[in-house]
Amino acid sequence: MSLQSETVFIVDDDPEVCRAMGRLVRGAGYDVREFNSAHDFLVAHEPDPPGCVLLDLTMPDLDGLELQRCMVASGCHRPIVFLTANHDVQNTVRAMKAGAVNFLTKPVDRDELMAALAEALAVDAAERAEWEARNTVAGRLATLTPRERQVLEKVVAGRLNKQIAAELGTVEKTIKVHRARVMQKLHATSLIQLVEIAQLAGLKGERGSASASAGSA
Amino acid sequence: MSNSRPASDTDLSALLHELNQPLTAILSNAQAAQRFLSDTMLDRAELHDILEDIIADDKRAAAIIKRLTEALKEAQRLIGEAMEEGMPR
Repeated sequence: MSLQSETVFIVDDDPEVCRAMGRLVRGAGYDVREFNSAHDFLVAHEPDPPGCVLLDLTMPDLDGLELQRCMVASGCHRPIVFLTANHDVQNTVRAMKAGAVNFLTKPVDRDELMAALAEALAVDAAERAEWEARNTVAGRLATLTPRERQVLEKVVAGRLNKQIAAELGTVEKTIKVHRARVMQKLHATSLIQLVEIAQLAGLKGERGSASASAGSA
Repeated sequence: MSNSRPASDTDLSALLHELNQPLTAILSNAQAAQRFLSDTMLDRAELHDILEDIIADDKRAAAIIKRLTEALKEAQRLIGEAMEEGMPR
C-alpha cells in the first residue's frame, strides 16, 4: 500500500466502531481523524486537507443527513461515504441526491469499505484539481485589460479578426496584437485551448457559440 | 429495558440496530489485525488492544442478544394474549 496524504474523517457516535474503523483505514495507509459526534466534527473540521468523510447515518442529536446538509450549506464539498445499520431506501436516496458518494451497510467488509473510500477520494482529488484550474484561470483572466477581455469574448464566440475589428471600430492588425496578448496571458497556444479556458472560467462567448467557427480562425 | 413495558417494534428494531455496532467493530478490528500481522514490524501492543476490544464487543453483542430475546418473548406473550382475547368462544 502506498503512502497517501489523504485523510479519512470518521464520524460515528459509537467509540468502539470509530476506533475499529480507524485502525482498519489507518492500516490501509490513510491518515485518520475520528469524531464521536457530528458536532465535534463540525467544530474541528478543516476543509483544506484532501480527503473524504466516513459518516454514520444514525446518531443522536445531529444525524448523518443533517451533518451532510450543514456541510453542503457551508460550501464544503468533501465527499461522503455513509454507513448505516440497515438498508434504508428512503434515506439512501436522500443522501445520494445530496451528493453522497456511497452508502454502505454495517457491518462492512474491508474490501467494500476500501473501494468506497478510494472512489470518494478520487472524487475529492478531481474536484480539487478542477477548483485549482479554475482559480488559476481566474487569476490569469484578471490580468486582461478591458479591451483584451472584449476581444477574448468575441474570439471565443467565433468571430474572425476582421469582424472583431469592424465591431470594435479598429483595424485587424490591432486585434491581432490584442489577440496575441490574450493568448500569452492565458497561456493558450491554440484557439481550442482558448475556448477551453474561457469555458473553465465560465466566460460566455458573445453569442454563446464558442465552437461554431473555431476551426476557421 | 424494563419488563413492565411491552416490547414494541421500535424496541426490537433499536436493539437490532444496536447489535450491528459491536458486529461492525469486531469485523473491522479483526480485519485491521489481519493487516497488521503482515507488517514487518509487528506492533504487539496494538494487536493486544485490538483483541481486548474484540472481546469487549463480543460481550456487548451477547448482552444485546439477551435483551433482544427478552423483548421477543414479551412480544410473543402479548400476541398470545391478544389472540386469546380476540378468539370467539
